[in-house]
Amino acid sequence: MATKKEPKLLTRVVKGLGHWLGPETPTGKAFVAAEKGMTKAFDRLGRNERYLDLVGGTLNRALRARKAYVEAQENWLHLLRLPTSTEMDDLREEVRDVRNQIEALSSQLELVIDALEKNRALAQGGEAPRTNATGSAATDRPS
Amino acid sequence: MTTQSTTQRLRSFVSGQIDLSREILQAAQKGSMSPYHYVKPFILRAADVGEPPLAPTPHKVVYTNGKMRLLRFEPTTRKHATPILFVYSLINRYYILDFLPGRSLIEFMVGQGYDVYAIDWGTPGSAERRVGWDDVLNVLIKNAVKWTLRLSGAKDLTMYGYCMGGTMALAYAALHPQGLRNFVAQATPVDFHEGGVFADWTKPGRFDVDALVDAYGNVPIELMETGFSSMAPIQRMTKWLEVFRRIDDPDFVTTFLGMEQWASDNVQFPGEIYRQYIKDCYQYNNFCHGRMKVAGQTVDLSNIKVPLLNIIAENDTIAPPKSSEILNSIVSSSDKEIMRFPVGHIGLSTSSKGPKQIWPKVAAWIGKRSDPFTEG
Repeated sequence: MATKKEPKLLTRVVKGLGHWLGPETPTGKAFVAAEKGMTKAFDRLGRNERYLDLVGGTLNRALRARKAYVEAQENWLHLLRLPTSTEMDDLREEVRDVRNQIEALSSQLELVIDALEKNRALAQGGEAPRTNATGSAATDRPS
Repeated sequence: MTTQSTTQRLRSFVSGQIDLSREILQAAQKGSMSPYHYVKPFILRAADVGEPPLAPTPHKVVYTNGKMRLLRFEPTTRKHATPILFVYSLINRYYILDFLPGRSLIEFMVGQGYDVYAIDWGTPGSAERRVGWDDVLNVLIKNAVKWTLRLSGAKDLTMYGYCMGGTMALAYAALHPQGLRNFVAQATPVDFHEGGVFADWTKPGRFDVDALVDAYGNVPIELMETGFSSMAPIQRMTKWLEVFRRIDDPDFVTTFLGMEQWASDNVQFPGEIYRQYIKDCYQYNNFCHGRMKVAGQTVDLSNIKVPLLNIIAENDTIAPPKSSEILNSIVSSSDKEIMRFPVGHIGLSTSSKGPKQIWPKVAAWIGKRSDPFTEG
């Protein structure tokens, strides 16, 4: 007959803690009541217009202060002729544009090839290759 | 013999404690705010389970652009010619749609014979600061649609948007209706003035989104985490007690840890997308009222004419039912339906009700409106 393995100490501790604070024990009942109370309080606080205005105002002030700091930092870097974060972003944007342009060109090239293939097939009296809604040839091949 | 065994046990205990401390220290060094990183090492050891097998469905990366990847989940036996393209939100990661074996929406759809594709936005960094709605709709989603059609050999597809991904997918469908056969919006906010606590928190006078984006570029992970934990600060801690109580139930522990791992896997929100999202959606509700502009074009949801399925979670606090149900009265589709399920926002994709009650209905709805697959 197989004997059930004795649970590890950690397992027993974790399970014990769970049950100690579970809804079936007196400590757990008190804990659940406290949890419900706190949840209600936080919920009311989270919907309180004055509280939200206060938190929002504080957050906005902190964000504006950081924005001012970032701007000052960029001005200094500019004076020292060092690349700023904005300039790096400009560069990244250009790289992204170039990448998209290359992709668009390759799509256009595919359309031209499809059109040529269609013409060639028609000229040979065969059937034109199947195309999908985007105008590209339907194929199972990733490029 | 006994001395040796006691020594071995003592050694293993000490090395276990060292590993445990190391993991917790690493989490602290990373500045993780989520309790998951601190409690998980204890739970894994106490429950004797491994890491949750997230994103189990086999897939191939078929297209990439920057951090974005288009994933293909091919079925063993394809029954439907019309593929499904999942568009996920920029908050957290896509794999909530491919959660755990037996509890994965993607796995379910693949099992139903659909050729499934999903956009994984990856983990945006400083290179994505200036990526805007124009890039997302007119480049990334547009290319994902193109590649989905190309690889599946279909002429049109079912677009399946989830949460903010649904909002983006709707904007795409309004701007580029060609190539779309059906649209499924799952827990998708549309009327943002019914957007629950987020709408309250982001009111124009209360939240200066310009200052945030100008100061940080992208929205920092810490700020995103703080926002989410502020929604239910007490439950964030006390929910762990349930896993303590059920520590000898490996299925429950694995599901719980999987969910917590996903929830704590926050990513930065690309700044420019966030700026327009907050202004056009939460602050001025332009998206709902057909006033949002992307690259000079107006996003008018009434341009959507394809069959629409609007899936609503009745207990959703992120996209409350009121914020989603208005969609059916805005679009011009003649074939439109609302399905409601008694779950929460995430429950639509991870609940045990998913594979039994929710997904079969969704798959049947899509199946009726898809072409059957024929070889050759």
